[in-house]
Amino acid sequence: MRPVVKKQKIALFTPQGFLDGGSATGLITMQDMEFTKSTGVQMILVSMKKVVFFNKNGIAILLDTMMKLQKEMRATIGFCDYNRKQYEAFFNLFEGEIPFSLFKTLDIAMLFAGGRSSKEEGEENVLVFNEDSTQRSMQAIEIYDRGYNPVVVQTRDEFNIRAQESDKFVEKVDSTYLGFMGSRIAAKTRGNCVIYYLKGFLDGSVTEQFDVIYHQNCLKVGFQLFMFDATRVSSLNIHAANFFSRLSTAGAEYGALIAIVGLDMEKTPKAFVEELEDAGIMFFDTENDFFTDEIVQSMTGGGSSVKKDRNRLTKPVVARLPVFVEAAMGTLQMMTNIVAIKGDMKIQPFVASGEDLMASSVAFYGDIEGMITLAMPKKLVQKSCMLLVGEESEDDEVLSDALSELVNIVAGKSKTVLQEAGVNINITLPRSYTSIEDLSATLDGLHGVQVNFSFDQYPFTFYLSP
Amino acid sequence: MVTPQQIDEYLKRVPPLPEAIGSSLKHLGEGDLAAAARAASADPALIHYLRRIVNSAAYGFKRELKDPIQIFSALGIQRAKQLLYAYMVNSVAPKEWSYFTLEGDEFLNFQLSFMKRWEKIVSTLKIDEKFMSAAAIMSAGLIVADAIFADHASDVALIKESGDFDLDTILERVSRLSFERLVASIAEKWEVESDVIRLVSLAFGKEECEGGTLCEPARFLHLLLFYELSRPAMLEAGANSFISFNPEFSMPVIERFEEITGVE
Repeated sequence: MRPVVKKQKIALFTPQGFLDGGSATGLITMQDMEFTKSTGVQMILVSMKKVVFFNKNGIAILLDTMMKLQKEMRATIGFCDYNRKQYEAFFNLFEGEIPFSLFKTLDIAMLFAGGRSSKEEGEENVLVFNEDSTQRSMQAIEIYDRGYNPVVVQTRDEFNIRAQESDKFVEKVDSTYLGFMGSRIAAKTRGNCVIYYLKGFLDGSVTEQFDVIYHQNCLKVGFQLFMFDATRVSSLNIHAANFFSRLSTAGAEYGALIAIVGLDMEKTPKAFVEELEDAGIMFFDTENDFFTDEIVQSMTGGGSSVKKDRNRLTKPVVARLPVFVEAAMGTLQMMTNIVAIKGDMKIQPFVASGEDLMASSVAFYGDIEGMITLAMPKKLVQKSCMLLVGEESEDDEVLSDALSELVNIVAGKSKTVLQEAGVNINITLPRSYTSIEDLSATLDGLHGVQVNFSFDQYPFTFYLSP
Repeated sequence: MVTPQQIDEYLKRVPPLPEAIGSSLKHLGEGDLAAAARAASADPALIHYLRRIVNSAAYGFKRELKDPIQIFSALGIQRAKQLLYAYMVNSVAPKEWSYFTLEGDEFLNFQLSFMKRWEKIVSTLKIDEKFMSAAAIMSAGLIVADAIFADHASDVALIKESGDFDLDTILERVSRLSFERLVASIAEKWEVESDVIRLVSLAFGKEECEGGTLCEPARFLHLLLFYELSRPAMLEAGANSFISFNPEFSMPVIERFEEITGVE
């Protein structure tokens, strides 16, 4: 069974029915293992949402495979989406010695995997309860390390009462158990900014803990602000300083800004700070100072200098344009059952077409590099994402996520066709835009190929940019 | 991706009951096993199929059964009916599966195991034996799914990368049709009794089911289908996500199911 990759952080297997000694052997095959490894995710989970029966034999067989993945990928493994009875059954089956993690819901797992984006500045509270005091503390620490404010309660009754104040908490964590947690640096996105959370003494191991692929993917889809929260960092050595310096240099071609916030300057050698400043890294005392800084504010709209040195498409990319266009057209036709009418195609800066537009981009790299953007009116997003969402949703967040999935499907389809032609590409995580101005700012200064289509009365823009 | 017109075309291609089977079923309905066997003898492929199945380990008859009358007598009316429908389902199965990666006898083995366990449930719960055919009919769903999604495997794979979608949900969202309805259409074409069709439809687990006589059998059949779809061969073939499993629907019968089938 192929796992679904959620936000490039979690590989989720969702079996239906029975998870016993017989079925567990067929759940994660060798090919599924290879695929999972290729995703580089931080968590490998099995959803129990549609499992009605499981036994120790089944879980043990499954764990054997998952532990191999854990070892090779240094990922967190476990189960999610279970009910209270199933949660208790895990403890009974393993007599309290559980060698994996348990997350009551996928959303809670995503919180620990660092795959959630935050909407607003300021404290985001997470309500935490566990019967076991060690687990309570451990969960609170892990949540704190991910940039949230844990509110720990001591009893189930108190949890139930506090949980009713739903607007005060971005998540309520209970019936959750943390086993071995991967040691990667936590990250979350806020608007056009990616925030990383550092802790302890930073040395050479920061290179291993940092998810370079995730960072590169963020750069490729136009994220330009990268904030390292160092409020919990005691100090750093030359290896860590060199790491940040290299990161800043590598991000320069994308016009990226790296900032370190809250670093204790008294404990940090002055020479390191100077070296990092020379590499273009900015220092701020607080998160508020960072977000209110003039330079930072000028970039929060998406920036205007993405890949300044590569603002035109290369010939090999243009040669493959029909593949991307066909994939976009085919996907939209498949999703809407509406025949597309192809309009004009021009090499030009991005020009928005239509009203009430939504857009999403995905970048690709490998043998050829570039970025695909799809822009269309909200009404067409509703129609084309019905298959993914199930209904014509009005919720912008739901539609934005569905549009990101749609652009992902287009990229995936292109990848398959290109692979057959001997051209290998990898695709990044999709990025959706808060507004069309945000998109225009990201694509400003670039010359790409714009293809306009119409689906019934709705305009649809495909844009391939460097 | 898939239009209602394409599905309609597919349903038109599903053959009606051949004369030999229709006549055999009619005689079974009248309780005349010998006449049913004689009618079935007009179809050598059917007799070959029945010989193979009844002499397999699943049926465990002590001596080899060769003669059609012997076979029908050993099976009895309802089991014979069940196998006639199972034969029909197999006759529309693809030689090579396109969407599901089923090979060789994997479908046949799945169907046989599904039918045998269902027989055990029917007999333990003392359900009317005419419902024995329900498992055979339900197995047709996989064949329909394979035919409909044969040319769209890569598209479905991409959609499934976005979420844990089952094929029935995808079908419903693109065409407003469901496998439950398609299987029922085929069953109607094969003149399956209406309350057996109703049981099969309920066993897809999509309808609220409270109190009716078919409700409990439907819960068992739904659960049993997913027991069979959780076997390694079916998991590896991608058949586990054929339709959506409804745990709440099955929950009232899970313990009894474990007792009857011996799942531990």
